[in-house]
Amino acid sequence: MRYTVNTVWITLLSVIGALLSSSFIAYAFAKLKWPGRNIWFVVLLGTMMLPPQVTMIPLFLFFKQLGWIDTYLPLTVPYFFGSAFYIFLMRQFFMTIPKELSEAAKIDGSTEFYIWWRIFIPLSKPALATLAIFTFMMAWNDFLGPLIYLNDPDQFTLALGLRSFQQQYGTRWNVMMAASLIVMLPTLVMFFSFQKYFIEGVTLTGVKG
Amino acid sequence: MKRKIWSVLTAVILILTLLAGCSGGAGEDTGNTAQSPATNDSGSGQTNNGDAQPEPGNDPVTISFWHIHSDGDMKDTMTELLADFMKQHPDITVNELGINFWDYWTKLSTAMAGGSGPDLAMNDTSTLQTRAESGAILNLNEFIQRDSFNTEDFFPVLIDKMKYNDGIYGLPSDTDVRVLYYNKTAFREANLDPEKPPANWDELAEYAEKLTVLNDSNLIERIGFSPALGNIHLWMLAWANGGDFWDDEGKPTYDRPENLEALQWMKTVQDKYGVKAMSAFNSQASALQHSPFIAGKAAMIVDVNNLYTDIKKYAPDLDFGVAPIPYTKQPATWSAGFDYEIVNNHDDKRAAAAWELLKYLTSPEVQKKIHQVSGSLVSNMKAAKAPEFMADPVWEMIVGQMEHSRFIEYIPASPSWHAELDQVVQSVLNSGVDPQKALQDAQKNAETKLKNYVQTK
Repeated sequence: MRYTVNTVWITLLSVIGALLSSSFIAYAFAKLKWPGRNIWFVVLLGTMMLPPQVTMIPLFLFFKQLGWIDTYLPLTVPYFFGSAFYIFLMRQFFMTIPKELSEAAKIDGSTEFYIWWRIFIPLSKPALATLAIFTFMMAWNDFLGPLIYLNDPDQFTLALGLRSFQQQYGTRWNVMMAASLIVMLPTLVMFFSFQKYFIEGVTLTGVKG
Repeated sequence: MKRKIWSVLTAVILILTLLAGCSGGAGEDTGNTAQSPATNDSGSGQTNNGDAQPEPGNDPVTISFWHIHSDGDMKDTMTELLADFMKQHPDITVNELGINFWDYWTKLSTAMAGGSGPDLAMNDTSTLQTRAESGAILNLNEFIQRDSFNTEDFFPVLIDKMKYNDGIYGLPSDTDVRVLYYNKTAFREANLDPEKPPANWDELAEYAEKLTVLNDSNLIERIGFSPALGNIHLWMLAWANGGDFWDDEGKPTYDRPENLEALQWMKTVQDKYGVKAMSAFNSQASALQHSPFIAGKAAMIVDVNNLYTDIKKYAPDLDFGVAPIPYTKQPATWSAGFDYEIVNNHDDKRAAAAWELLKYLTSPEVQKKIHQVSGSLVSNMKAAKAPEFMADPVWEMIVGQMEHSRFIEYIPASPSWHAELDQVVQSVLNSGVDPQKALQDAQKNAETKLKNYVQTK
């Protein structure tokens, strides 16, 4: 089905975007020292307090100015700029990774970028897995975003398709339920397959003597 | 080297963020100008830059049309109709989009606020005036005069709702109307004449009592009539009793004695069942998925004309009748509906094409077809009152009620006053609040809202 391909595509881009950007930004907040770091972090957390309904219209107008309406860009590109909650999540995790690891790497002459990519990313698989699941569920189930940004029925996502079974004077419950189950499956599979990372994470953070 | 990449990356991201900040602000501004008619020109310049515009001249034009039919027969019919329209107008291409009724409004209002709305939109009849006032939709007078289009084909109550300051800002698509449905089999069981439905409130209450059947455990097996079921509302009963909630100047008149009488009558009827038995009945009825009238669980009910479509579909053997809603002083019922509006996209060519589509969709032939598929009460009287439909006495009765039908007033200070009034009624029927006190409180509430609104204007 066309909707499935669309949804998978959007979700995939979103997950990749969120994983890369959030961990990258979080690294700067957790391990680099730069002026005003804490203030910026508070500002970042402040954006979490804004309900999405408040930013919906301004964001819509902004994307319209960019000519992005009726494309997938408004649905995926924002993930590549990180989002406050994920950055917060990753920062807290990076804080628990001992300083000695990055110091050792620095002594061996590696750059901050290298440390992030070769040491922090592999060590924080559990946190990344959590992040991936969150983003996946959010992008997969996102309804309002596709609803307002997409105009072409051929580009619709599954969440939108599901709702079309509900009409003003009644719903085709049989079709609706069957479709809902199918749409729900990937989320379930995703959750169970990543579950082991949650447990693994506990043992990963120790410094080897 | 790596350090350089890192700093370049950071710089790029920072710049992009800054840019995002700036243009975000600009985006907001144009949105506001597009909304206010005074600065339309600057708004139009901006919006046109964003869109890919077709070349001027006699070239083909592409317009978009949004409606609420996202599934089922009406969706297919809409697609067929549009294909037919495009055959008649080879130079016009229509991109249609059907979003289900529940989410349509979010999408449409966001898109229109952003100036990226469709060219022709199905919309809510009762709130047309706000959009006309803000300049979001086009005044159709010019088109109507040019084509000497006859607006008298539509139900007068509907075309009245399309008017704002001498302009007509849309054409009605379809509407609905409430009537009394009664179960003739139940009437016979209770020794009532099935050809004599109740005509006033006393009769309605009396019949309701006779038609109610309780089972062994004193729960309601079949309910005679309940103002809490179907689609009856306090405002309609108040109108039927000569009352009103807003006067001609838009001032609240909740505490009028006629309104109180209506509410007290609702309470009297409802109190006979008791809150407990009623909630047991309601939970049973909601499991039915249909109206309790279809299931034979309610002997009389006031509901919209769509119930008739449902009866034909789910309970074709049901022996029932329809009648005007019982009243005390004047016959009353109410309607809501949809219309088509041409969105102000600052493009004359697309607007002209949208007008052609608008004429097509409201023409008698097309409206007849829509009625055949959906059973809805289409707004073109030539279609709704077509002889082939009027041969059905039930339909004739339903259409006849349009004469007494009213729309809920649109009050800018309190657009959802009717929903709030329903809650007041609930508090009286279910929680035992005194009707008089409830209406007085509601009156005060409405006055405060009006005062606050005037101050913010």
